[in-house]
Amino acid sequence: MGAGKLTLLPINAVELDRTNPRIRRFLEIHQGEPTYDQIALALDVAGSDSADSQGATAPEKLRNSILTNGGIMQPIIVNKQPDSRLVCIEGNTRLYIYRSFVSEKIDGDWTKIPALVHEGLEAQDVDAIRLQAHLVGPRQWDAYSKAKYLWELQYKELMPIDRIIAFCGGNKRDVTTAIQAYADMEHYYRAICVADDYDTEKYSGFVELQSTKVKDAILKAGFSLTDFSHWIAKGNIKNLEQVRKLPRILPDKKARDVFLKKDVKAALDVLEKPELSGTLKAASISQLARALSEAIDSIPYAEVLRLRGSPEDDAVRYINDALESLQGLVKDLNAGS
Amino acid sequence: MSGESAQHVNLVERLVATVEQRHQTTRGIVVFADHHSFGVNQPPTIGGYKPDVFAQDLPETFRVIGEAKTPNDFRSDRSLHQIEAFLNHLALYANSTFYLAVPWFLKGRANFVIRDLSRPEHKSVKISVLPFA
Repeated sequence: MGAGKLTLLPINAVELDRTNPRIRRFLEIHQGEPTYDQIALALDVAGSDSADSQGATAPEKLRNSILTNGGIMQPIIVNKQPDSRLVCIEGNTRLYIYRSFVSEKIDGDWTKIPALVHEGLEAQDVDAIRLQAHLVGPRQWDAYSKAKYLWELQYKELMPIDRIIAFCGGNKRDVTTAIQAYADMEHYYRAICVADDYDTEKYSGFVELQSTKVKDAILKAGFSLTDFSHWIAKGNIKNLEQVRKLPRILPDKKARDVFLKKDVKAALDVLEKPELSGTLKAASISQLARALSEAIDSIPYAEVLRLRGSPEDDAVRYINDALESLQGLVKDLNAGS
Repeated sequence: MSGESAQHVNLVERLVATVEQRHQTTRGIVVFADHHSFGVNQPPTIGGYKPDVFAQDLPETFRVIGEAKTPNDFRSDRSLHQIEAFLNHLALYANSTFYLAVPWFLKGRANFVIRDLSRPEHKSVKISVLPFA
């Protein structure tokens, strides 16, 4: 890939990139070729999502910055194709903003935009530019668009995984999680959605699913990733933080049943307040303390080993809770002495 | 593996090489290892334990866990719980493989441990002891 030529290009001579993943994210439900307005809307909407756009291009902020500076500080990157078409491969939002300034008759000359023009870039060069600019650079795409792009590079374009990882800064975990989360979402969640219901915002739930703790808990409890997709679609799981609660909920029969009928919140209520028998409830604190001491003294060693090997077992959690409560009580009791 | 012996480090390196060679695909393989050369690319924690090597392709069609054990490691109950946790995990996934890398003179002991820990639900896991000279 050569250095390219820096020039000023008429804004109408440059096409927005219809293959840009951020644009395609919002055009997935549209049939046929997207119109210019749809692409423009996609760019606008894609950047306005503050919930998951860490570092993403925010059109409104960018628009104000361009207005204040009287232009862009970094040129857009354009690929001059063999048929002489000029396609913007990096800087679609900036090009769109320049066009909107012209149509809104904003003061200044917005008819030409600074551009770095490359001739006949190979697909791999275009990918390299996008990866550097939007996956690890200062203008990162939203998480779903990044994952979709990585998945396509790896699965459809057969780019070696080591190369993708190197482009993305060498963190295998991030790349693996993004590609696998996208693949799981495509395979399991898309299969249960009718077109209009497919919600890319659910992607974060599939990212959380990649935790070995979460996936193991689902499979161990006899469920599948299709079940997980149904939970996401039906609202049993409402946000990504709730996905992390599944390893606590699924092993507990009562909490699991409540989760399947209602949601994570209701299931957590069951876990936080385990049912106690009437006898236990009626027992005094001294009786319970004595019973606890006796139970600890007579616990079989095999059970200790089992609990040691199962740090997520409910019993371990209740023991730790009891320890905390006892320490607090003892501290209070000793405070007066 | 932090603070492990040179023997253990050597076993992990040979384990990584074996996994890369046996499980390589045209699209590549992602390997995580508890080895200084892997930096941040450490294996995930599984059942409370971190394996020495974890590998998969993308999107995932197989999953590999490798564990290296020296004579000292085999004396601890922790090692046995660890191997059991890895087998339990792999049993949940299709096309999974577990490698136990040991010095050659521990091959018999390693085979015994594997036989002792294996349960019917682990039958889908391909288990292999790798004795290294």
